[in-house]
Amino acid sequence: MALALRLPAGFQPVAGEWVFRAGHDPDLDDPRLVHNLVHHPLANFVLHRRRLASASSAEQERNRMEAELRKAVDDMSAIESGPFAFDDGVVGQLFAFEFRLLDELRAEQVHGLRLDGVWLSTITYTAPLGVGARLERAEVKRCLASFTPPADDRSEGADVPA
Amino acid sequence: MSPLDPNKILVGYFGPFGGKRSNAAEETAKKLGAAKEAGTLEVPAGATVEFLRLDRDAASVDRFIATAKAGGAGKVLLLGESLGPLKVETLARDRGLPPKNVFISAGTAFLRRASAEVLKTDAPAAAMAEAAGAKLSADAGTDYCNFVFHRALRAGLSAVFVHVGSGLFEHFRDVDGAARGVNAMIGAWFEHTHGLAAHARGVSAMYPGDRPD
Repeated sequence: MALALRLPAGFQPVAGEWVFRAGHDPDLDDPRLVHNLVHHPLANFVLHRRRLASASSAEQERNRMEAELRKAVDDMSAIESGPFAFDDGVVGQLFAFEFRLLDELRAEQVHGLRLDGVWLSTITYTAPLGVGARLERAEVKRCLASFTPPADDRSEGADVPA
Repeated sequence: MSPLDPNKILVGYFGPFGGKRSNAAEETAKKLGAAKEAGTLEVPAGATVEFLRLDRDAASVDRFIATAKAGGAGKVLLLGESLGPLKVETLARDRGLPPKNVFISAGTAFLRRASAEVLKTDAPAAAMAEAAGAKLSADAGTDYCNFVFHRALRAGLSAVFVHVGSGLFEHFRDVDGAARGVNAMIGAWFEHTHGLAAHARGVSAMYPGDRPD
């Protein structure tokens, strides 16, 4: 996944996002299934990166995220929260939980966060429970752990205001 | 009480008091209301923005807090006026009920009770200030600005107080600039509510409008 874009001078990156959605599940092709009458929920990974405006740590960011989500997300359970080791040795944070997506449908979400210089990367896995194929939590974590940012991001950050 | 929804923001603003005909906070709120109608408020799709006027009395503050909680406002932005530049207040102190007379209240501004409880906003104040080119402040004063700010934080609301420039004798105000600044602050607040944003991104990606099959 390599991108190239020659921007005019004066434009600085501040945020970026990639969405990776699971393919169509052939088990759901039966037209009698109610899921085929509507768009059924598909598992996905979302990679979001943004430049922080002020100094922080991955733990602070996870605490903030966790506090927001505990207030806002309906019927949260199976909560997992704490440090998370990425394959390249960086220690980030993980926050995972199950929640009610619809009355009859629950879903899971796993967030992996890491801070490289001023760049906060959040990789989010979201999948319905009981609909279509499901990745095991260990496989999700392996995917999250494999993320590495561009090398030049890590040297950026000496100018972050405290 | 409704669960607090970070996608709901309640903007509270003080009306005129002390014999004045207008308040820069109210004027700023009106501009923001117009921006809401024009669709130019920097809020994500699906966010709701409401405005509620505050008067300089305890009953009005209590009504405001109750309304914010009952409505599930996950973000409470309070607007007041003061001499000086646009600034984001980070701390609120339990200074008790301010004197009824605004001039006596102003006269007590130098009194600082060391034992007063200090509460800190959980809003991304630094990012909000940066987005607006505003200053950060750690003292919301001794009057109702600090009072409502403290009451909101004490009530468990995610609240932040913004002082807009009052101008001199209701003149020399930059209400347009204040409204632009506060709008940018609101945008930064939503941008930095990244937990909810990340959650919403994942959930919305489950229901693609452009399913690749």
